[in-house]
Amino acid sequence: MVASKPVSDEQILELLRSGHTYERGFRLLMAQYRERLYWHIRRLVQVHDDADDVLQNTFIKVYRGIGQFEGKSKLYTWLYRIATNEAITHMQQKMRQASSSLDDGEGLLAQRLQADSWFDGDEVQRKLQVAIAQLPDKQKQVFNLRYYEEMPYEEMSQLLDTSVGALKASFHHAVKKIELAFTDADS
Amino acid sequence: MKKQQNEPEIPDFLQDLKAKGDGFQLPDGYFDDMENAVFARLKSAGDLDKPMIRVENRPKMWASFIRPKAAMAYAAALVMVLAAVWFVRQQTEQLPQAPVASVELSEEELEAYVLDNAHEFEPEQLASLEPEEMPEETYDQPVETGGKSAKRKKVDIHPDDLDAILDEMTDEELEQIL
Repeated sequence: MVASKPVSDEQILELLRSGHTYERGFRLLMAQYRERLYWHIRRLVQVHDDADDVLQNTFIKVYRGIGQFEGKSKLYTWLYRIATNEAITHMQQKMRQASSSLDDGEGLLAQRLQADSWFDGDEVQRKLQVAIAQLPDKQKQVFNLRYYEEMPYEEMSQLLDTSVGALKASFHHAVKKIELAFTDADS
Repeated sequence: MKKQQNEPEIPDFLQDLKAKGDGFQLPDGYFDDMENAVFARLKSAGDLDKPMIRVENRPKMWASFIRPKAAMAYAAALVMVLAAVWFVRQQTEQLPQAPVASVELSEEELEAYVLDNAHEFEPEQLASLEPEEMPEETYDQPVETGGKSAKRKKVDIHPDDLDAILDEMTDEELEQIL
């Protein structure tokens, strides 16, 4: 690990601006944001190997495209959007590949978690992850940010470029769908 | 979780589940291995050998004026625009003078030209001509009859028939026409 203490975005960007310190700046960027990005991606794709692929692809895109970062938003916001797009595209490809062999999306998601050696949750935890995976992409992001990361709606509003009211509505709908998934499974 | 105003409720079973964790694990030392893997991929793709893509602050519009190359480019563009404007104005000033100044026409020739090309003139311009010299086409202009707008119809009359028609007309009708 390169960075033991947090560094500011400005410090990272300053290092990235110079050819001599570019690589060091990029390593600091990865060290600063890799964990946060990993868990965001992992909760979207759920399987560790997929999360690893998506995270690596995200950083490679960041390396190649950091010159396009205009500094109009926070660095994490830019990274988060790249990671989200990568994760969603990755999942769409996975689901397309698997849809011919398994018609049931819920069954496919449960099977993926079952096969992941880096998931040790019980039946209820697996059921929750399957219910989350079936949410629409935006609701999934809002639910994860609020439920797992406990992100305030105001911060989430900047990150997702969505109004606070719309985010609360998305979270409400997501919770209702998850409740329904558990109710249906019990009955 | 910090409670916010009008925040959607989280059911108790989800609160309990959260305390148990999400069940996701990851290998020891994963993040260091991931970083090395990213650099290995960048190296094999040749990205590390390429010139660095530096993060630069986008130049402000005013800032570009103080850079010599940009300032010269702006100045050259301004000179070209001014030259183009001057050239166009010169051309438009010269155009109408040339034919009028070089040709002298008699009044008859001018009238003949106007009558032959009456469709190219505005009605107001033609109104300055003598009524008997008005071209046929102007009969299509609307005339006021009893407060209502109407068009006078053109009638093709053979010259041989004209005398017969005039003979049949009463004196009052002839007076009205004249």
